[in-house]
Amino acid sequence: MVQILLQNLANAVSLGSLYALIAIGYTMVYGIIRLINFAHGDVFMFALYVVYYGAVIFFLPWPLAVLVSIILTVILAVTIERFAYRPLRTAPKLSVLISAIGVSFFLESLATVIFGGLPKSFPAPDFFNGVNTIGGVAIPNVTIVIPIVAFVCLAGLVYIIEHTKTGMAMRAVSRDYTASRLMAIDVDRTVTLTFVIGSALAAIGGVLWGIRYTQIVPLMGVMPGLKCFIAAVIGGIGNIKGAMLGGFLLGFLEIFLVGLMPSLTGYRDAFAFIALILILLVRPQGLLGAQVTDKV
Amino acid sequence: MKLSRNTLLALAAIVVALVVVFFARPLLGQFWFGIFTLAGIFVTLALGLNLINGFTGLFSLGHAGFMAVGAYTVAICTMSPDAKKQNFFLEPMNPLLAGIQTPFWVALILGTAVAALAAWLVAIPALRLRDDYLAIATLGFGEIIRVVFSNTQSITNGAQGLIRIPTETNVWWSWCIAILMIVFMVRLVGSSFGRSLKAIRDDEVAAEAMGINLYRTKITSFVIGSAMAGLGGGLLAGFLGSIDPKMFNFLYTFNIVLIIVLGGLGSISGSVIAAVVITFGMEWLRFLDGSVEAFGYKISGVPGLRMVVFSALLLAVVLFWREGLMGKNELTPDYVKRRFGRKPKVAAATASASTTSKKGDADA
Amino acid sequence: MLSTDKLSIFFGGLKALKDLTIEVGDGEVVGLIGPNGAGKTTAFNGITGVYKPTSGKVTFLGEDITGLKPHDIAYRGVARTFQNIRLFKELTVLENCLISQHLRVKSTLVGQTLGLPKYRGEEKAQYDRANALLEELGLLQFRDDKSTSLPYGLQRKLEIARALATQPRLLLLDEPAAGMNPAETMAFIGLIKQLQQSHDISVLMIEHHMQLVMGICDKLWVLVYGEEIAQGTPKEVQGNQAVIEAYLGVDDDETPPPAIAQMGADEDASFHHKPAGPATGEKGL
Repeated sequence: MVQILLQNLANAVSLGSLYALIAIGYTMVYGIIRLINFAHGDVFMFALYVVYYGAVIFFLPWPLAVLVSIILTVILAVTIERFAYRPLRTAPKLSVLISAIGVSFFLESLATVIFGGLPKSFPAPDFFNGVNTIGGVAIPNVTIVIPIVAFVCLAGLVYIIEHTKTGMAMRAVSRDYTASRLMAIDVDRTVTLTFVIGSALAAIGGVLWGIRYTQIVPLMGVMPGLKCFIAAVIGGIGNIKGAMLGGFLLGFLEIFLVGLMPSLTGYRDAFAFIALILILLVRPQGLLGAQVTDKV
Repeated sequence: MKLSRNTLLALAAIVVALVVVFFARPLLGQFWFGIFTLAGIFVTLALGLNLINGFTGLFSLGHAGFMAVGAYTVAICTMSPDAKKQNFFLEPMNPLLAGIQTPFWVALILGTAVAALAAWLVAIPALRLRDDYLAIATLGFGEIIRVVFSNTQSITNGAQGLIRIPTETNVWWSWCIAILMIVFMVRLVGSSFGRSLKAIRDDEVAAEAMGINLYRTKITSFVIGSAMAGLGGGLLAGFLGSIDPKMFNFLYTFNIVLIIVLGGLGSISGSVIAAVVITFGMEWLRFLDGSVEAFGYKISGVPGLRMVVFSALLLAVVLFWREGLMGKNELTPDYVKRRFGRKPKVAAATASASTTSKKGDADA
Repeated sequence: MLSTDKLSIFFGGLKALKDLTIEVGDGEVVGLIGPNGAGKTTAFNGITGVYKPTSGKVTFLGEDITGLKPHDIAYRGVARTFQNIRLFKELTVLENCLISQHLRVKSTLVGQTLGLPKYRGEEKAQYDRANALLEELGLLQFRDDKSTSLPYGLQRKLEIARALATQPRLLLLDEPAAGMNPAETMAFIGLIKQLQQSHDISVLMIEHHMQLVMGICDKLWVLVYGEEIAQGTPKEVQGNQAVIEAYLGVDDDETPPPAIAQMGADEDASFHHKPAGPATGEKGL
């Protein structure tokens, strides 16, 4: 009994870490330009494919493939921001939301065309397949590595946000866009940086995801993307610690709900949406968010 | 009763439309004639979404979910008990539903009504939310509906879907309902209620201060628009003959979003034109996905290329042509005169007015 | 007609309005004045239901309307204009005045869509009333123009026309004369008097224009930092020491330079409780 609990716990922490890494991208972008970046999940998918092509097709050493993936993913995200979102910054919110949806579908269909719809196997060094036995429970190395990597990244991020000038600029822009511009903060650069960080974390999360779940398909970013956005909302959109909290909560929710009630497996995807609607009704600012009144 | 010039023109247009429908079959040939029928269904679907997103300024992304509700209702109502037994081989159908069989028109009304009810239930919580959160919430509800339909084996046959649905939807059903919906929309949008929708779209705070009940009005608009989705979904079921939960995914909603954005959010005639163009275009572009015989060579297409083109099209429209085909205007004689008339002074004024309004957008 | 009883509005710890007690009698023109940020528009928002008062009461025509939603309050006969002009930008001048009559429509949706006789009558009445109001305010020739194509002063008048179309008993005007020169202000005084007569309304107005305030108000209330420091007739208030100290008294002949008056308009922007949605970055990242 304890073993099953430990197993589930390990899985939950693992999944939660992955969700947290991806959720941060959503929360930072929403915090700074009030956009639900529908394309974030597809950027995540792109990272996985780059590693695949790097390692399997171009025979790059695995660490190099990962590095290339992070770099290319960041470039992709920045390009999207520059050409699909920035021109619409003064347009009604609907337009930029439609643009985000358009980018998302574009990436998904492009990936289907270029990479083909058949699943590919994500390459990973054998190290990750090793299994540790802790407390009588077999836990694969990857399940241990994920939370560690995630923790390091998130700690680094918190440091940047709270102890650097760049981070302060980000916080300023997210609080008051117009005032920030008046204070000579380069808003464009700050926004770009936000996308850089968000997509880099998504790429790292993607690599970890690939090691854990091994299978990659063009549409693999859809569900995780939506779920991680929901995680960000639950934690308090715009709030980085909230995104982390939300990610872990959602991971735990998913693992334990299916663990305790296997008959509900089919509804697994719906849980996240139900959680979203509940939180928006009961506490729309999220768990760590603060209720704000806007100017009229 | 004096009929205004516009009313007479409208009646004439309807007569012309009906004549076109009558002659569509011999003119288009079997295959394209089917697409023409499908286009009529998309007119209804597009108008429904345009009412919510275009005229009221809300953002619903759950349209496909309500289409599913309508489609399944019509399917369950029109399928013969025999067909039902054949379908529900994994788990027998709920006995209450197994015995139902109604004529097509009753099924359509039921489908619309059930979709309206579902929309009302969704609207009550969802419409308390702000615009982009409404989008995600409706998307969520759409997905929840889909997931539920995939799992309720005894009601919807789960992921297997339903086949052997009577293909009752012919071109007359599709286009007469489309024309009816167009007339309905024109009357609705031109009424006092319609004006209140536009007010909400324009400035909620001011609208509320002028006595408009925001919550109730938004719910009404949402329910009507989603009911139209149910109607379209029902027609779709009768057209395709088989449905399954997976087809009513977000992509389907996206298709309709593309149509209303292309036609112009807030233009009825825009939605109609765009629905026809996109439906035909979607089929015509199918060659991109499959192979094509040209000049004796076989040019193989790439599956999924069609979607690439369509998403690129949506991006192009939203980035460079935000107003879409018609913007907020309608295809009336006045509009045609304004757009194409030989009035340089007016043209200059409109040109400068549109540049000033664009500037206004940039400053907003 | 309208009275508030110790109306208070606090935003968390921020005191925007404290214990405001004012009265507008039948047929009166009452002024609410005070330096920038004094809470005047907040008071308007509290009276019209945009904010839910933290404590206190608002009574209108003998009915307690505290905490009702804005559309309910509008229905009961309180109409307002906005400091920053909130016309329906995409719509024509005429449509702006038609929409504000929707609250009085009794036909059902079915009746409206089918064009039943009852609705047709109501719609004709809407058009008639809109046209009459536009004519009264000198805007009839702009009827089919987009509302934002009007010059600033006419846009303010349109806002008044739109508010009057709701058939109110009480009209709340938020800085209606902002940006007007003395001649225009005199004309405006005449307009208010005329509107009062033809529509049988009382007026509560926020104003910085001393010329206007002294010229037309029957009573004044002076707000500073959310609290009332004086009340009375214009003459009484003018001589009140506290008022002079707090509010850099300005003569009848002078009006504050437009730049300062406009700055005041911007700073007095108030807060609106947006519909539920996650926080817009109050905590930032």
